[in-house]
Amino acid sequence: MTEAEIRQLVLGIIADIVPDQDLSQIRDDEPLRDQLGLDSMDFLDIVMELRRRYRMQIPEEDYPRLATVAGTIEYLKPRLAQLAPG
Amino acid sequence: MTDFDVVVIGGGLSGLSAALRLALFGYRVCLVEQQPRLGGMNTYFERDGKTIETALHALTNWPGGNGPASPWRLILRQLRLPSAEFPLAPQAFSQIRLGGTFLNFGNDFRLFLEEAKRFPAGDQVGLFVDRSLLPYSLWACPAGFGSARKVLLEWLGNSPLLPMIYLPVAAFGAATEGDMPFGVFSMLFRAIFAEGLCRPVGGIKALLTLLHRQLERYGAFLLLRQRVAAIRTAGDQVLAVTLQNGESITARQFVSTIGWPETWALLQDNAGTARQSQSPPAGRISFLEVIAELSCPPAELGFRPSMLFYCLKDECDFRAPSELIEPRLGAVCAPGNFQYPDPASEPMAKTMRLTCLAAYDQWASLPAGQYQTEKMKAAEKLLTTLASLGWDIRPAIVNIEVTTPLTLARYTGRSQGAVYGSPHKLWDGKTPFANLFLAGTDQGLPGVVGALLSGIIVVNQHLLPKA
Ligand SMILES: Cc1cc2nc3c(=O)[nH]c(=O)nc-3n(C[C@H](O)[C@H](O)[C@H](O)COP(=O)(O)OP(=O)(O)OC[C@H]3O[C@@H](n4cnc5c(N)ncnc54)[C@H](O)[C@@H]3O)c2cc1C
Repeated sequence: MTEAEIRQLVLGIIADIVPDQDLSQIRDDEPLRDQLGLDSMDFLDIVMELRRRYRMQIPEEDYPRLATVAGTIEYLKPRLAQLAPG
Repeated sequence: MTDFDVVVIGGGLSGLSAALRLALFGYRVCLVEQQPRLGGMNTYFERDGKTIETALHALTNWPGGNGPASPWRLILRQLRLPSAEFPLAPQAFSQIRLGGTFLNFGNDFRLFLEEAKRFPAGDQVGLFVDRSLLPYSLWACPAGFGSARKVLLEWLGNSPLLPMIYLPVAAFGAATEGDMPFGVFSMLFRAIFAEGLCRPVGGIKALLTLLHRQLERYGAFLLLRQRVAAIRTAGDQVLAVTLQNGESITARQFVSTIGWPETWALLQDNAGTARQSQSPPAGRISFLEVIAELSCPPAELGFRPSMLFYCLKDECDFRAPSELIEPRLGAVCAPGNFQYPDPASEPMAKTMRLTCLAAYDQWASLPAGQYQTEKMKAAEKLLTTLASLGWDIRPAIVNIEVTTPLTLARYTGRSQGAVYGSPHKLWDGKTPFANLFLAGTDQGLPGVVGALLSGIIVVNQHLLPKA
C-alpha cells in the first residue's frame, strides 16, 4: 500500500468513528486529540477497527504512536506490508 | 443449537448499546428480548393510530449547555450515530414544589443557583457543587461512596433545599429507600441540574428506530419474542442460555441487562438444578404512572413547566408507601412544554404524564376484580393532587392509560416492578462467573442515559480485548 492509500484508510476509519466531524481540513502532523477532540475511548475504536479490518493486534503501549495521522501512517506502513506481501 | 460470540440478554437501552458496540467490531452478537418490541421500560405502543410512549418523561444531560463534555456526545460517537440524526429539544423550565414553596430550574445552571439563594443555606449550594460533588467521569462506574443524605445534611442542614434537591435526583434514579449512594447522586445531580433536561424530537420511538437500524446495519442478530428461561453454568463459566421454547444458544461471553436478582434466578448448573445460595434482594422503589391524553396542549390549561416535582408530605422521604400509592410525592411531565422545532408534529405534545411512588406488594395482593377499579381510583387521586396545586386538567382529558408496579413487573420481568432495580449493585459489571457481565440498571447507572452508557462501558471494559 502506498502512503496515500494508507492515509485514505486511516481517514476512512476516523470518519466512521466520528461521523460528525469534517475531515477535509485535517493536518497530518497535529494531534487528533486536539483537532477532533478524540479521547481515549475513541482511540480504542481506532485500534478495534484496525483489528477488525486487518486482524492487526496493537498493544496498548503503542497507542501513543497513533496520536497523529502522520504517526499512524508511519506505524501502519510496515505492518500492512507484512499482512499483504508483494 | 446456535453459537455466537456474545449473547446479550434483554433489549432495553443498555442491551441495545451493548449489542451495538459489539456488532460494530464484527462480533457475532445475539440479542434476546422477550417482548415483540425493543426498548424495555422505555418503549411505546400504538393505540387507535396514536403512538403512546411508556416511562420516558425527560432525558437528562442536555448537551447544548456549556457544562463538561456531555455523555450524549460520547454515547452517539461510541454508537456511531451522527448527532444530526438525533435532535434533542431542551426543556423550558421545571419546578420543584415542597409544600407551599417552589424552586425553578432550567438548562442554565445559574438559574438554579440564583433560585437556591431564596432559601436558608442557599449560598452553600455553589460551594457544595465545587467542593463536595464527585468529579465527572464518563467511563468509570460510579460505585457507592457513602450516603448522599449525610453529605447533603452537612451542607444544607434542615433547609428545605435538602428535600427539594433530593427529590428530582431520587425520581431519576434512587434504587434505595430513604437515601442513595453519593456517587450516583453526584452523577445525577450534574445530569439534571448542571446539564439539564430535554426530550428526543420524535419521542423515544425516534431513538429506538435509530438504534434498531444501526444494529441491523452492523449485522447484530435480534431475537425478539424469546424469553431466556435458564442460564446454564459449569464451575465459574456460563455455557449457554436456554430459551423458553427449549432451544439453546451457546456463546463465549454473556451480558445480562435484566437485573441482578432476575439474572440470578435463571442460573442453573448444567444438570438443570437451580443454584441454592441466597438471591440478591429485589428493589422496592416503583411507580404508578398516569398518561393523560388531552384535548389541547397543557400550556393552554395554564400548565407551563416542562416537568414538575412535588412533595406535599411533612417528611419528604422517598420510600415505598404502605398504601397502593403515595399521591403526595410525584413527578409530572408535559412533553408539549419542551422546545421543539415543530411542536405540532410531536407524538406526545397533547399529553401529560403523572407519576408517583407506588407499592408493588400492595398491588400484588389486591383481590382479583379490584385491580381495574383501583387503577382508576389511583389516577383520580393523582389528578386531584395536581388540581390542589393549581392545575386542574380533568376537564380536558380525553383518554387515560394507567400503569402500575404490576404492569412494570409483567412487561419487563423486573422483580417487584423495581424501576431502578435492586439496591445491591454490581458496580464493576462483574459477576461470580468469569464470562457473564451485568449491564444496565443493576450495574448502577440509572435512567436512559445511564442505561446507554452502562452497555458501552461494560463492553469496553470487559468484552473488547485489551490487545
Ligand atoms: C414510569 C417510569 C418513568 C421513567 N422515566 C424516566 C425518565 O423520564 N428519564 C429517564 O432517563 N429514565 C426514566 N425511567 C428509567 C428508565 O426507563 C430505566 O432506567 C432504563 O430504561 C433501564 O434500562 P435497562 O436497559 O437497564 O433495563 P430495561 O429497560 O428493564 O430492559 C431490560 C429488558 O430485558 C427484557 N427481559 C427481561 N427478562 C428477560 C428474559 N428472561 N429474557 C429476555 N428478555 C428479558 C425486558 O423485556 C426488557 O426489555 C423511567 C422508568 C419508569 C418505569
